[in-house]
Amino acid sequence: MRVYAVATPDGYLVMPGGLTRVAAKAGAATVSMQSGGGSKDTWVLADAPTLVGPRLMPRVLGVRDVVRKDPYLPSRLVENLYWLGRYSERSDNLTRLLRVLLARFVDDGGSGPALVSVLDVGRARTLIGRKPPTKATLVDAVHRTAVGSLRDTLARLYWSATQVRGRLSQENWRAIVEIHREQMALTAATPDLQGAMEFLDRLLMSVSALSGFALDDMTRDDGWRFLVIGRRLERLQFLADVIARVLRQSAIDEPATLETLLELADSIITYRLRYLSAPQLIPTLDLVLLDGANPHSLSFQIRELQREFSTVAADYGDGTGAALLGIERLLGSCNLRALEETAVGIAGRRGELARMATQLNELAAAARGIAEQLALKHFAHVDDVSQATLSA
Amino acid sequence: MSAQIDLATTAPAPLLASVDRDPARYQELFDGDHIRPHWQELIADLERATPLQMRHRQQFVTRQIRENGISYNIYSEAKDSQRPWDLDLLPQMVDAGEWRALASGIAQRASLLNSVLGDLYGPQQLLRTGMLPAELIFGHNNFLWPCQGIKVPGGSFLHVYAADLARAPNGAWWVVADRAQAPSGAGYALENRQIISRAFPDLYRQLQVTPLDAFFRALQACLQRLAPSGDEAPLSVLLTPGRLNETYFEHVYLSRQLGVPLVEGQDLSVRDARVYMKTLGGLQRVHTILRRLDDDYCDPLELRSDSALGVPGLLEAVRAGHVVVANALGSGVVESPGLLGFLPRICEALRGEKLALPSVATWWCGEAPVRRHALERLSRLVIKAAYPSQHFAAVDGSTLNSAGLAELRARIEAGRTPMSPRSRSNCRKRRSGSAASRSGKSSPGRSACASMRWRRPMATW
Repeated sequence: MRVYAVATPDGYLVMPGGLTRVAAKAGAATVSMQSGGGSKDTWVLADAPTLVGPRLMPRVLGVRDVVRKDPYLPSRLVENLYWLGRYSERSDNLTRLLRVLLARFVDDGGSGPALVSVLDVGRARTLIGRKPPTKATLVDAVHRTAVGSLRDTLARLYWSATQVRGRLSQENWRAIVEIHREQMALTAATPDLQGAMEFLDRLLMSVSALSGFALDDMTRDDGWRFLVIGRRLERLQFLADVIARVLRQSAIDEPATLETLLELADSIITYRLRYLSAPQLIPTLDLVLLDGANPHSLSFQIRELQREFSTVAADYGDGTGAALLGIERLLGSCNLRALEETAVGIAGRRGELARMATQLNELAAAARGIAEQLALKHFAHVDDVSQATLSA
Repeated sequence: MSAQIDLATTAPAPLLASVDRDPARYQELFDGDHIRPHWQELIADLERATPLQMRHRQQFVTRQIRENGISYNIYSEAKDSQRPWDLDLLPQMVDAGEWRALASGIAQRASLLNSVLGDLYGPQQLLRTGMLPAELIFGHNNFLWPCQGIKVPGGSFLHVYAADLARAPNGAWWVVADRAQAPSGAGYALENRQIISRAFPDLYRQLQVTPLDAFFRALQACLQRLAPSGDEAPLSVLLTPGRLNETYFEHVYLSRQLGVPLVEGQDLSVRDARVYMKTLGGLQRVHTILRRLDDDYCDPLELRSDSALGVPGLLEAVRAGHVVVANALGSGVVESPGLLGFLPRICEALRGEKLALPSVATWWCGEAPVRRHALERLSRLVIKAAYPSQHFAAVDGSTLNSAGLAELRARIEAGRTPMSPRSRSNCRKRRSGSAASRSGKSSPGRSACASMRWRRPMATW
């Protein structure tokens, strides 16, 4: 039996009762909780009626007890939710990127403008080397586990999910475990192109399910807000980077190049439904840059970020408002009219494309800046606001 | 050896006859041929109940455990394994008079160990006068040198203390071990009570069982009272090693019951010798930390540098008096079984009274005559490490063959080389004749009405 005592101003108060232990197996000479075994409640009988104070039994909660917010939400938890959001979105992006890369390689037979543009994106992320792609290097791009690779990202996704497991629904958690299992199982598989593509198809389904859980499965509290911010920031950076790279391609007007861009931005269906023809430059850019109704456009990400950040700012003070306005201005200055050849001529159009690419790079850098500010202010607490708390 | 009663299907006379009446064991239920008075009403209630009622009660307990997610993590099993909490339907009954004596003995022991800590981290008179061997204290890895001389508010080192008790064959209670750094299990005890009292609502009311609530309110008050918060509202937190810890469920449960946030080491940050909790809303000053982390893991800056669980700079904040850690850092040193043999004399010296609760007879092998004595009768002793750093699981000498005994003997003797004072195995002895008798166990064989097997409380931990 284990008996407890607590210090009071009048000496130690002993808990009337304790933890009585029973063995799991008969015959064990000693017992510890570590080796298993059970417990008994211990009843100390009173010889005189005891005054029963307020009970620790669960009490009935009324309207005034309603809680909608955790006043001590630990930063660690929020940070892990934020990274869960980022890694989910990053996994989605990388899976899509690799799928397009493998598909173009099979379709184009190793050359062609579409493959060139997607190779450029893949190389920038060190998924694939500088040499002309072969079957082996492409399979390796899926299988590799170096930092920044798809599988590395999936491992990080799993890790951050384990840190916040208590806040995820049973189904959400199962979806994450499933992704983890697929990722681990890949090691044993024989490396071939077909197998890699099937893996990517399955993975894309599971990873997309995670965004569904984020959309409709979680309570929209502060933790959720940071998860969504993580997703939006990640997508904003990825899209801005991909579009900037495609704009610098010499074969920018080729339908195959634009189609690749639309696929990477998961907007190909919308484009086909709207224009019923092979993609052209200005409508494509409108769809992925400016169309506020497209959840894969830059404009959509910025609007969502503004909404979530304004809620955060209302509760915890403003930290990112100025940077977000700057991002919005950069996007606003992407003038598609200036790309109309009849208006500016071929050389003017080239210059405008290059200028737009530079602006998108700046936009991606600004998004990275926001992410850093966010971490300092809300997770590590080393910005000016926290210093003020300290000296108060 | 069967200590099982099939209460639901057996008529009273054969029911009581089926209880194991080994005279070498203390009989919880019987005094001679009579049921002890404090058990009578429970037994009568069980006899009145139909098998169906008993099954319902058992199902209620199982369902509560499942629905409340009460679990216990087992390190030795596959990672991530959570075991549902094992709670017996039948409570252990303790008579009021017996409890009064036991409780006052526990309170005395807690005060005594608190004074011992005050001395060890203060003037060290006990070492100076030879009442405690310096080697035993300084060799213990939970004697924290950086804590020497720290003043704790109210002179309180042990805010919570727990004793592991066992019964001798004559019914007397013996202390088997002291828990001083972060005693676990109080939360499970409360959870057990909440479930079992509702499985026997009428009996519980009728018997006037003493409620546990006062203990937890006193703990809340203790954390508030000692908080060095000045004019601010004091903020207490419960520091957990994390969700992989064996008693993580209890940490979550206690934090809810006590109304304090549950934090991990990385949630806290020390700035300017003050502890802050990192929340989304900013830094929140923390005044008391109820810790479930072992002593040496608490501050990687001054204690174990390989600890990823602690709070860097915590000790500095404690030293400056800006935060109270409960229990005080370094309390673990009085958990050493080597201390048990010295307590009766220390009690008389410090408190001028006799130690009320005897400890299981224990000798520390650091002293040569004791070691010789122990080595002669190794096969009748239980050997335990005096320091947790020795990584030595308790061994029952009677279970060893001659080779095993020789090895153990060599290990204890090797401890004498001055080069490795920490590797010394220290000896803890218990009366061999009573070894079997004091470890009363049930054989959990299942009867037709499986829910009603009778499980005897364990004497040993």
